[in-house]
Amino acid sequence: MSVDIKLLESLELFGDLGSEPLARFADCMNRVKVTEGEKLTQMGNFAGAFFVILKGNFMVYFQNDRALTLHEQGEVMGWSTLMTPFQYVGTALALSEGDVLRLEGSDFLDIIRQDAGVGDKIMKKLNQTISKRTALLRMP
Amino acid sequence: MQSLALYGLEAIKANNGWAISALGISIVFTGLTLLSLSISQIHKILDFWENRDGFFDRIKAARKNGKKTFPPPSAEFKSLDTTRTAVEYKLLTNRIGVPFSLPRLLKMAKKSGLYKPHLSINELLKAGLIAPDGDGFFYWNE
Repeated sequence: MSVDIKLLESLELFGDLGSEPLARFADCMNRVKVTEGEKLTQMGNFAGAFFVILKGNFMVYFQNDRALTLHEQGEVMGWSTLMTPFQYVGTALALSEGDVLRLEGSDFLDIIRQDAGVGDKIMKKLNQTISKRTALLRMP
Repeated sequence: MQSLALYGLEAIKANNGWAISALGISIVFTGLTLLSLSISQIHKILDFWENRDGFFDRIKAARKNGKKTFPPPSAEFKSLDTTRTAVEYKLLTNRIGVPFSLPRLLKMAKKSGLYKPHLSINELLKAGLIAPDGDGFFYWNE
């Protein structure tokens, strides 16, 4: 477990958090290889982990059959780990082989609860992603 | 003159009654056994009826694979021709309509037994042949 802090610094989500919170995130994260067709999240299931894309191509789709595809480093999947009722609202599927950073939801919540400033920064950055995906989710 | 009328067990014996009874019992017992076996298998028939589309799709896919329509599993994906892949996937989207749902297209591709459907769709996306419409659906960008 644990990943390189420099790798986290290079990601927009963690870029300006400061060395101490970054070290905590780095300790809790692990780099995971994914294979084509692998599901990282499943809609309706308990949201247990948050993912940041390092490499690869992914599709997130919702119950209404709408979907978006993610291809860039730093894009995230599994934001439901931070919000009640802690249940994934979409299914994230790997369209190709890739690498992701995996962070357990409980660790993520612990870190942002310990430091409100960190939580605030993270949530501000995630806000746009959450809004965009929630909008898709609410479409008929 | 002595009467030939027989009654009771003697009459049964004289007219093969025991054999006929045994035959009758065997026929009824066999019938009931067959009936209970049929009832016990009804769930399989119902399952088949409910999933008949998937069954026929699997047969079609197996036939296609038998004809070697697709490259062997060991072949590298890059050997696939994107243009040919696009033609195959357009046939599927013709059935869904445009704009189409990407997860639905993927599901149909899997059912049809197309080769490496996730990678194929990814290639079509990366090649810009499939593009998002901004509302969660996709269209052919040509």
